Amino acid sequence: MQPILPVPAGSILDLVARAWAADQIAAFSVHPTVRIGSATVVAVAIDNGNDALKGAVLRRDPALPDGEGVRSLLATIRVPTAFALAQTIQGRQEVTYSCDGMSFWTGEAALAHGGDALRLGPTIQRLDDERQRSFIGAGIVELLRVAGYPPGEHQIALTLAVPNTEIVIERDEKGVEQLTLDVRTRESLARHLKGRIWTIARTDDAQQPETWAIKVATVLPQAQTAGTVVALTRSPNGKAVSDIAGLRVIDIGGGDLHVTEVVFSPAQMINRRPGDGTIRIARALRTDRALASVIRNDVEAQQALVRQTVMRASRSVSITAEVQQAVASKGNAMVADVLAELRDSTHFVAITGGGVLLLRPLLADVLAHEAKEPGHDYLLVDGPLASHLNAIGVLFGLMFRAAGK
Amino acid sequence: MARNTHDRDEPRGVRRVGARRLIAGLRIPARDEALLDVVRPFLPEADSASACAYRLWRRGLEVTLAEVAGLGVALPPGTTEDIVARLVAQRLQLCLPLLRRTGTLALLGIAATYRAADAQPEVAPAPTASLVEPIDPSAADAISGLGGSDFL
Repeated sequence: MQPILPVPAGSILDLVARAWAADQIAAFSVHPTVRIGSATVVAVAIDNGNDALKGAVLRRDPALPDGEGVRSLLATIRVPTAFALAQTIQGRQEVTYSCDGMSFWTGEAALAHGGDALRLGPTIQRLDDERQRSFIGAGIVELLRVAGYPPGEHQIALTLAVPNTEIVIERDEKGVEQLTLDVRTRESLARHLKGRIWTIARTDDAQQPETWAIKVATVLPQAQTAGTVVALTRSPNGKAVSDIAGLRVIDIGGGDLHVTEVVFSPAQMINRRPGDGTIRIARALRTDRALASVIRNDVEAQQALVRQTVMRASRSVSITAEVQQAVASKGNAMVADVLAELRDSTHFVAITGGGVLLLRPLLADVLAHEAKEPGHDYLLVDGPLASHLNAIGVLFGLMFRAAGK
Repeated sequence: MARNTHDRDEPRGVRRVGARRLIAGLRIPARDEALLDVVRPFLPEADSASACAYRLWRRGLEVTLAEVAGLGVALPPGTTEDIVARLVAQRLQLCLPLLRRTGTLALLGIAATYRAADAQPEVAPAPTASLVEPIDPSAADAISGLGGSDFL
């Protein structure tokens, strides 16, 4: 359940939180597409986290009469970063994708059939893995499908949330320092994603086979924290809705605990990585002797943390006690890191990331005794938005950037 | 069974057509047809008589909605007084040159607040499309400032 958050009224974050809290789809008076050169393409955002791919896209509200107004509906997905080659199944079919001569399962289906975790690490290492690229393509298909786009050919502008550490300072031709993408990441994205055409056949148990052709017209990499900053400080049409001059974002992700300090004018960004993200709790679970035989890799461990169950001898077994123990031992260390960053900051602090959901009880306890006030000094992004925030924010970032191109 | 129940609740002349409903057939007198011929070229996006009729009906509905909203009636969820006001303002703005030329603005007592710019016979955007505010120019710079400047 999504709580309403103490954030600037009219901000993207505010509008999504309010809609989700009312169990409604978030809707915005913006176009779902962007103009790139002479082409109009669908704006698609992917935050390919170490634990899960998160995606966000808009689609024109089908309830609107033709030619009458603009209203776009937000669709999001979260797919655990698990991958398995598909096998022949007699009986209920899993959602299966076929691409470049390979049939595969992703996410929950892959986990259910002993799938592997995909590579962790920087973008360049991850995109070098062909499975990762197919995984992203399948994720985009699923995202468009969830949003209500029909199978067929779709040209997209893809924005990718990349680790903050891959954004570096460079001087432009006039000698002015500016934040830009690390050259190796840029080369990797240009090689593997720009101009990429995924032709993906999708089958499942109930539907006729579908063929999707996804053409990536352009790629806009953005620091993952940019998503949080945009969603918190901007309205859907890009107007500033907050008077804060800077922000410290504590992003509790699956792989990393990132701290980023952003000053808006002049633009500055400082990144730190105080330690691992929730993977340190997941690994504690994985090394638990009682669970070692049923949790085989990091992604299974992350999922076990979220679900608090594992499959053992064909039975779903609760591991709530083991999860609580792992969270108590490793989670408290993470909370201590978060607390130190909060106390130390002279900026407004946003605490976000999928790890918030896991650490919420511990965080709520300690934050209740802090002198700093929620909403005024800091924001704890809670609920489903915690893991989807960066994807939603960079989606709007793409639309803003395309409008000003 | 549910459908029959629903049909019973609907007034005569209401028929379901796909996702929309056909609400009453319209009989157009010759004089109105002549007026329709005047406006039809200005609705090029309406590629059929029914599409044209819908757009005209929609305009009438918006103005009527604004009239009754002014009386304080409850609006359905998702519709606010602000939205209705902005919808109808676009319609009224397009009427201003005529109201001014005919002295009707003065008659209504609002001539003093009428700005010369309103008299420009410029082509206004489609009324509902204009509800979409343009992206604030500062937003693109903010994205660049955060490192999102490179379209690959």
